Amino acid sequence: MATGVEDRGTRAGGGAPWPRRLVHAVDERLGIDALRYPVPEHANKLGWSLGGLTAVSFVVLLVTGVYLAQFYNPMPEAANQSVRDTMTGVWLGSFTRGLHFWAAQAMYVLVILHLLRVILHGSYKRPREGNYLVGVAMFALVIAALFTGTVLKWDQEAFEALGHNTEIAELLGGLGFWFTPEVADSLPILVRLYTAHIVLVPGLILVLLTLHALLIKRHGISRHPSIPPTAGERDEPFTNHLRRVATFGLVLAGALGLLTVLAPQGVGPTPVEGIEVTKPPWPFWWMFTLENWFGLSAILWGSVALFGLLVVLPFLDRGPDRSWRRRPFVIGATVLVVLALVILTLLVPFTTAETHL
Amino acid sequence: MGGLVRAVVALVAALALAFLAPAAVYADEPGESDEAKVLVLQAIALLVNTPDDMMAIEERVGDALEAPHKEGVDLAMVQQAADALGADDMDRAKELLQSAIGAGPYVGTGVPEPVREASGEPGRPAFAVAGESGTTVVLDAYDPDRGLDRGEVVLLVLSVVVLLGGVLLSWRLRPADTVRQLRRTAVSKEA
Repeated sequence: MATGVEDRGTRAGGGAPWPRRLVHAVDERLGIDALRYPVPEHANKLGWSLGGLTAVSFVVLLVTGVYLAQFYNPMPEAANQSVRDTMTGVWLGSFTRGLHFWAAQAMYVLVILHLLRVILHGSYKRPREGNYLVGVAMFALVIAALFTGTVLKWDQEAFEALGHNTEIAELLGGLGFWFTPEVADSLPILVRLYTAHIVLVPGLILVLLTLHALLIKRHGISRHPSIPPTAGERDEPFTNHLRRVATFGLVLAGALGLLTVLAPQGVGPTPVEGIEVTKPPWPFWWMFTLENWFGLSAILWGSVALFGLLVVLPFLDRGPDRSWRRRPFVIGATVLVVLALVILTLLVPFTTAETHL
Repeated sequence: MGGLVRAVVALVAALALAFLAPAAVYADEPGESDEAKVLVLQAIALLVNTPDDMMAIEERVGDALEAPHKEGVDLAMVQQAADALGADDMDRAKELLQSAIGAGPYVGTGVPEPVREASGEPGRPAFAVAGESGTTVVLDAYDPDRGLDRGEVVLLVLSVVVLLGGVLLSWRLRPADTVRQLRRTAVSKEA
């Protein structure tokens, strides 16, 4: 009786074309065939590929980030100038930086859309609560990556963002100690945030992404609540899902390229302590409005409240129903929270920057 | 005994007032610097970031002229900068302010005083540490040219090709059944 490995070896043998023989030779040694586990056909729809597209954005960020890191100087005296030099004197420097910027915006939007899709379809329910929490943690890390990336350009906006970071860290007391300059007062905090941006945050995202993917394989992709089990939905190999994500990824990459060329990103003036004249990047606008209304600590409480709600969600909504029509409380609460965040965000263009630091 | 406590409290309060009052009287806003050099740098930053907010800029220049610690600043130039601001000559004001703290070319006619000092304290490095900005010269914002050069046209075309290729492939590899079809199948099976 032949073993599985021998079976695969036999399949690739004989007169098979050389690319197929190559794939099977690799598969025989690395076991990539394990990716061909079955997933339902609806997993190949755009709404169910948003997690994969978030991962595509992450890959774009890694590749462009590695290139940009070759030219970035994290010393405060030189950081802003090194960004300018990268844009003006490095081959494809401006394009790479623009692509990095737009991929970061895309990752933020896509991770939110993915989260909303998961909430809409109740995909966080048993037995997927743990994987959902891994996803929420990755959402927090995406925000951390956006924040640290904002600081790295070291212009006035970046410096004021850092000032807010420090103040909030002090509000947290011992918990926020790492985020204050006092941790290593002979070293610029910019250098520590740079290491966080290029090592800690993406490293943690990679670890959690691997765990996320392994748990998806273990639990399977969740059933579509609108497709009854009697519909006879066919299964497809997960590799088909990857192929589909890759095609959507091409659309995303093209769109990012267009945005990069048509809406290039500049860099602000070198920063000066003691003034507060800028507004944060748009992903943080809802926090900015809260700060203007209730003071600096509102940024902390607003964030804690949002992530608190996300974390307790699977423990509050434990019923078997996954259709949004039969979960009016959760869907209503989600709509209210999203509406509040959108309104807080849209108010910012009509608000003037106030001094809080 | 009570008299002694009151005397100690009064003494502490008097000492606190003696040490804190000058700063409290000087500072327009909580946390505002009392160093002319820092205030001049802030005035330049305001000129660059919010050039329309003349009141804030003039206030900061005025504060620099009155600051108790004037080391490292050519106050005559700061005064000239204040006059330039009064005449709405922002470029000249910025140039003078930068020169006043040694962050720009000297533009005066007399022999310049040595206004720069080593930024580091004894035993500490001279470069920025902890949460310091490290800024000595306030650069203007850099906005890339929005026009397209040949290389950008190539990148634009490549992006369009990739985007359209992605749309085409995702259409060709779309799932065989829509959710609606599957629901209809389920209904007909149940019927």
